[in-house]
Amino acid sequence: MENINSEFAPPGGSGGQEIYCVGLSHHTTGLTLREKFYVRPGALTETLKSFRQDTGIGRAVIVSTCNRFEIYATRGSPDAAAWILGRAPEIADQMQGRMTPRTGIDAITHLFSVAAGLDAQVLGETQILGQVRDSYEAARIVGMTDAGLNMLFQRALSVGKRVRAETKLAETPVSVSSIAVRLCEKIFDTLKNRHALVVGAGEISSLAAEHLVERGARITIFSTRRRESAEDLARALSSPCQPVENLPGQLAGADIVVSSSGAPHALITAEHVRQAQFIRNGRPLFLVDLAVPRNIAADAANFENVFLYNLDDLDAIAAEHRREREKEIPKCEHLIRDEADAFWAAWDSAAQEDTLRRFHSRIADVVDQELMRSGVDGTAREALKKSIPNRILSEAFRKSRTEMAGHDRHTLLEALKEFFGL
Amino acid sequence: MDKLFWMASLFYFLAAAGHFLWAKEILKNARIGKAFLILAFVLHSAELLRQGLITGMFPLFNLRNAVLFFSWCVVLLYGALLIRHRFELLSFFTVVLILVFILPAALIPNTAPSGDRPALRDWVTALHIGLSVFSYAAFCVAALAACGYLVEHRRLKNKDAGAVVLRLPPLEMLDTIQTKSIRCGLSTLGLGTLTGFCWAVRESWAVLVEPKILMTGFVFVIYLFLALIRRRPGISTRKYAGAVIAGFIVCLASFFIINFISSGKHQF
Repeated sequence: MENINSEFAPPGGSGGQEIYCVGLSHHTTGLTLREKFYVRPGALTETLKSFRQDTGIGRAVIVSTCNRFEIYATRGSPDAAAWILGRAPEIADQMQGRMTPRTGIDAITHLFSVAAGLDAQVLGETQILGQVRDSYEAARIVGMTDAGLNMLFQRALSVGKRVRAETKLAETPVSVSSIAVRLCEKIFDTLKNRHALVVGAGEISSLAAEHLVERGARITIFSTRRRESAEDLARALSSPCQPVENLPGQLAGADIVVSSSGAPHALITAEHVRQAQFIRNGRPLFLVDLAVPRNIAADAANFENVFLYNLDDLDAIAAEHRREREKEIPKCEHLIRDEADAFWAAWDSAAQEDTLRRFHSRIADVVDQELMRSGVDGTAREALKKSIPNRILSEAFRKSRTEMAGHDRHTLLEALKEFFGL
Repeated sequence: MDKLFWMASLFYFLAAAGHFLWAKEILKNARIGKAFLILAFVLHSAELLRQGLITGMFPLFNLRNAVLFFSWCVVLLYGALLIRHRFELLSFFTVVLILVFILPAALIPNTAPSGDRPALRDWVTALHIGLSVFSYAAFCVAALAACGYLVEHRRLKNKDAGAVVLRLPPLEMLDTIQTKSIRCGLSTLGLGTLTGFCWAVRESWAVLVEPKILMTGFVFVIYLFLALIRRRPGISTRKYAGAVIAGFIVCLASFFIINFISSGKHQF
């Protein structure tokens, strides 16, 4: 049949393919409940297989992150929601009313918002795009995606990228560790081969250390009271670990210091910095003090080219960046709405074309059976099998596509489905 | 006759507006400003070419054209840096600086030199003037980077790391641009002076001690000093950036004020 939008067409089979999404997120569920449903990335394929086995739904994508557990499918079923609840039966009562089902354009808009980071707890976070991609890949690998889900997720990933490229939603960092690293990049031309000293192995300093290593910096970890955690971090980053007593002596060779130890006194004094800067010829030195009480004396910042930021300073920058991101929300929502409308229109049209294709196929089968009964065989039968349905239907199909309004066309297609059992 | 000049000025103005609107987050990106800057540069080049073709001389026979050529060199150098480092926030200041130079230049009459000046048709002289003016443009770019350095340094020290600072190039890069531009300016000024000296020897030009030559020597010594002290221990990068800006002010003085007290034979 001509003019069928085969690229966009949902897979064949029974009609009425829809987009369906059900799950829970940080909007409706607290962390204590949410963590019961969390699936780590490595276990996603097994979870998908188990979902398919338990529910009989063969086409679905599970998006599981710290903030959400959602199932996207091209055919809705109450089994999906029940299956989610079945994963944590001990809290089923508490989960009443917390699951949010969405269908059609609502589900599309929601997935696009998730991929863009607009629905995230940390507005505009970039990690979610990778998580959506990984979720989709996991489903694809176990053969649980169809043409519709492929199109939906590929478009969602492209919308996520577009929002980040065309708005300032993710332009400025909002986490303390990323702000610290971004500030490093504002001071140093490159972080490659820069020497960074990381004191303590707290969560934020560990994240900052990971970011620095990713950018090519050389790291030395200094342990304070809990030597084990510092050694673990050093091992994870393939970096040396030293006792904190060596810190002042290493300052002259460092470009960046990130400190978050639980020491009750200053580990780096102004005098340490003065001596280090003298040896370093006054080259820029970036000090990040994430500890409470502070590990770096405030007057260490009085020296030329010494930039000292503490937790409050970084929090203030983070708050400013968050405000900048919030200003971008209307622009992002507008872009997502446009994309969702366009996708839904294309999806709807493809679904209608699918009905026409199945109707065409039904007629072709009838013609084929009648020709066989009449004794027509070989190439003539093949040619007639194609030409008769085309001659009967092409004009009607053309009119339905070009001359019928959306509602009328929908009614006609519904009637076709009803009468011919399509 | 001045259509190209005015069109170039208009596009520089639009480029400044485009970059300003982008910096104020009204425009999504700096593409519009950049497109106007490229157009302005093309028209600017066409105007210089036109002057050269009409007179048959290297188009630096009066103050107006010297300023036009100087501004053209600044845009050329800045464009090269922009391609290399991809920072757009300094574009606004560069374009405003260009307008500050070229708009007053429009008030200066564009008079051709009185009488035949064979020296202005000589390639050695063209090289001498071109390289000398180019060196001043390099010092101007160094001063622009120094301004950026001081602004960013102050903001980072004051913990005012808003979106503006995040769009500026890193401090170290601005520091490197200053050093590299000064080296580039020193080399071209040295070569320009050498070619001028060669021409003077060839033409048996006796006037070697006159204000322009003395001032050029002074500028050369200032920047040589700046280039040499850069890597010495204990030099404050902030004070160094201040000295680079001061050095450029001396350059400007040598470029403009000397015209009024020079012998008349040696202006550009």
